Parts: sequence; C-alpha cells; structure tokens
Amino acid sequence: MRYLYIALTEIKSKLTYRFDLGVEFFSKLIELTMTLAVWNAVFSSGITIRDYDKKSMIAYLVISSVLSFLYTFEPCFRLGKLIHSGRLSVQLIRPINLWKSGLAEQTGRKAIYFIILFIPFVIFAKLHNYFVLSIILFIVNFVMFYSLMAFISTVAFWLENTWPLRPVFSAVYSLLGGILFPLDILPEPVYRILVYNPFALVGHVTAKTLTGSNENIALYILISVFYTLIFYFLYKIFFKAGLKKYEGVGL
Amino acid sequence: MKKCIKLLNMFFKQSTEELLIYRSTAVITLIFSFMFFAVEIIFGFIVYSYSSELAGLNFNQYMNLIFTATLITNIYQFFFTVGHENLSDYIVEGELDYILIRPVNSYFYYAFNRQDIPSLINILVTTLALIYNNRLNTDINFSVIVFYIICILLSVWTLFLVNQIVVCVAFWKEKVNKLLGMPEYFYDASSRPLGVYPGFIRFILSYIIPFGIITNDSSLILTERFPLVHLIYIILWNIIITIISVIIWKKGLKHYASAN
Repeated sequence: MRYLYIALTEIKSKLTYRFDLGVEFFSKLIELTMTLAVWNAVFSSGITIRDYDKKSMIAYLVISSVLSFLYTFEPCFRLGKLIHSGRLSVQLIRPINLWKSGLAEQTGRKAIYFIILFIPFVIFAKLHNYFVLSIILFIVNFVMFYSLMAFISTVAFWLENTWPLRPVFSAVYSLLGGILFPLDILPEPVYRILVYNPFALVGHVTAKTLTGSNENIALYILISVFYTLIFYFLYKIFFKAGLKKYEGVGL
Repeated sequence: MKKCIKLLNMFFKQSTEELLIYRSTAVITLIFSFMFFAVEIIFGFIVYSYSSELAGLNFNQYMNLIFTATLITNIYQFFFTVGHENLSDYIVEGELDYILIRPVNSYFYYAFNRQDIPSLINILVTTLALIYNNRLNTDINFSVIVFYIICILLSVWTLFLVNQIVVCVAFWKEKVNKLLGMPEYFYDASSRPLGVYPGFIRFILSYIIPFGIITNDSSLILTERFPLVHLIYIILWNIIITIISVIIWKKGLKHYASAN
C-alpha cells in the first residue's frame, strides 16, 4: 500500500508540471520526425530493405519511438541524487525498500504514458492474436529495464557525478535498442547477437511484437525475466558494497 | 580588455582545477561524446549501404555534415555548456547574487564562466576526422579553410544564443529541465541533410532557428560554394538575437529575487 502512495505522488507531481510534460512530448516528436524524414528519403526511390517497405518501416519507427517514452533513465540517477544530497540516510531509516520505492516512483512517473498508450497498444496487440503474451512481455520488460537502471545507479557510490551517463544511455539505447533503425536490417550474425541485449528487448523486440512480426514472444519473456533476476541480484550486491563506502552527515 | 583576458585566464585555470578534482566525470563525458560520434557514423554507414545519395548528399558530404555539426557542438560545449547547465540552477536557487555584486558584465561573466576542458580532445578528434574525410578533396585551399572557420565560429555563437535565451526562461518558470534540452533536439534534427524535411520544417530550421543553415551550409563549403546570402543572414540573425538575448537577460535580472 505504501508503494501505491509513492506512485500516486509521482502521478500528481507529473500532472502539476504539465508544461514539462508537453515539452517532453514535443521533443519526442522532433526526434521521431528526424528519423522518419531520413528513412523517407531513403525509401523515396521505391526500394525495400530486407522485409521492410516504406509503410512497415514507418510503423516500426513510430512504435519504437513511442515505446521510448516508457523506458527512460531517471531511476539511474535517483540513487546518485540521494547520495549527493545526503538524503540517502533518511531513506535508509524509513521502513521502505529502496528498490521497490524506486519502481513505484517510475511506475507513477510513467502512468500517464501507460494510459495514453494503452488503447493503441491493445489495438496493435489484438490485431495479431498475441494479446496476453504481449502484455506480459511489456510488463516484464518494464521491470527488467528498471532493474538494469537501478543496478547501474549503484555506481553513484563510487562516482562524484553521474549526470554524464545520461547521454551515454541515450546513445546506447538509440543504437542497440533499434530506435534509429530496426536491428534486423543489420547483417544476420550481428543481428543474432544484438537482439538479446536488454535495450533491444524493450525497443526492437517489443516494436516487432506489436507490428505482429515476432513469433518467439515466450522466449523473449523468459530472457527478460532472466535479466531481471540477474540485475536485481547485482543491484543487491553492489548496493551493499556501496553502503560500506557511503558517509552521510546529519539527518 | 586587459581585465577580460585576465578573467578568461582565471576561468580557464579554475576549469582545469575542477577537471582534476572530477576526473572520473571528465572521463565519462569524454566517452559519451565519442559514443555519440560513433552512433552517428554507424547510422550514416547503414543508411548509405541502402542508398547512394540522401537528399542530394553523397556519403562524403554526409560525413562532412556530421563532423561539422559535431565540431560546432564540441566548441559550444567547451566554452558555454557548463555555464548554461549551472545558470538555471543558480537562478532557481537564488545563487545569482554572488555574480551580480561583482564589478563585471554579468551576461558575459556567465557566458564564459567555465570551460569544459575534455571537449578539447573531442574538438581535436573531430578535426582529424574532417581532415581524413577530405584528404582527397582538391577543392580545399586557404580561403576555403578561413571561410569555414569563420562559419564555424558564427555557428557556435548561434548555438550559444538559442541556448542562452532558453536558459533565461528559468527567470520566469520554475521547472524548465525538459525545456533546456529542446535546443539540443532541434540541433540534432539539423545535423541531417535539410533536404529530407518537408518545406515548413526546412523553413523553421533555416530562418527561425537557423541550425539547419549553420550545419548544412557550413559543411557544404568544403565541397561546394556557400550561399553568401545565408552567411549574411546568419551574421544579421546573430547581431539581432544577441541584442534580444541581452535585453531578455536584463529583464530577467529585474524579475529575479532571492532571499540571501
């Protein structure tokens, strides 16, 4: 119940700063326009790239771009902010689990996007008879991505500033997640390696699932669960080690 | 003038000292810049493996565009990015007072307040990439290089002005984090050939927020002729927007209040 309140507080905060929300939508729109314009120019000569014609490429890019609203890097910097400000000490004496409260915060932060994206998501998923599996993949991926970010956030115990990491993730996500282009237009051996990376699972794999061109959903769910467990245990280990290094003054 | 040089010298020394304190941050910043660079190059290779031309640009011209856009960003980053990152926080947290009581021009003091030293390495790498990409280009001579450098410096100032105006919104609005990232999105969009965009986007990126001109036309100097009309337009745009940004800064300072 207490985690529900945390999520609700985040929703309220998001709704309070509506201007910020609007700017976020607008920035994504610019990003999407840029990618679509480039690929539109490539397809203008009427070529097809592997299995993609102009229409399917646009559908893929729009879905992967919309998905990137949900998979953002805020949880990666949460711990760093707490350590830097010394507020971690306060959090530690509270009867809450830091990992769970972070997940609740992230869920609350993304709740508005979930609501907005739910209807198109259901339409796409229903079109291809993968409704239940798609929903499960979607939820598991959300937790997996959060676990990855939470695990990486523990570097804050050893680094003074973690903000330079944000653009690193953006670059990695754009490339390995298949936001700039579908990963399956890459040479087959490269694609086989890249498709199982966590960024591809939340970007490329989910977009392919929603466009109905993915039949191994169950396998991807299993891989995602596996990653979630690995990242969770790594988070636990590194958080424990980091706490030994942490010094908080005052409460 | 002597005072300005002394101040710039002092800022550079302070920036170097900060770099030595935050070594790990500097290394990460450097890595991220290289990663962006790598992503752009990989994207270029993939696009051009399916098409020999993109909106009239061949692969070499496209790479010139990417390297030029990166070079402009790196120079902007070296001179202004740290100052801009701190400024909105200082405005919101009321820490601007320490600057306002000093006998210096607050606008320029903040503009040049810190240098991002690791960006110097990025500038060097991008320049080397540009030289490599144009190693067979026989059109490049001394006047082209001078013209190119002038355009790059003008472009850096254009990028600074847009960011400066956006940062000043913090004088009136409290939470502007997302807004501060907007110029970057526009700039990224402008680091693609302008010809890929529909007319109205091309117009916005050419004349309203002229990032499209500064990246596309600057890079074309190396392989084609730069439209002189655009250069004159950018000079005029920079002069007018500099005046406007100073006015906004002064109005913002009047609006600013702190309880220190």
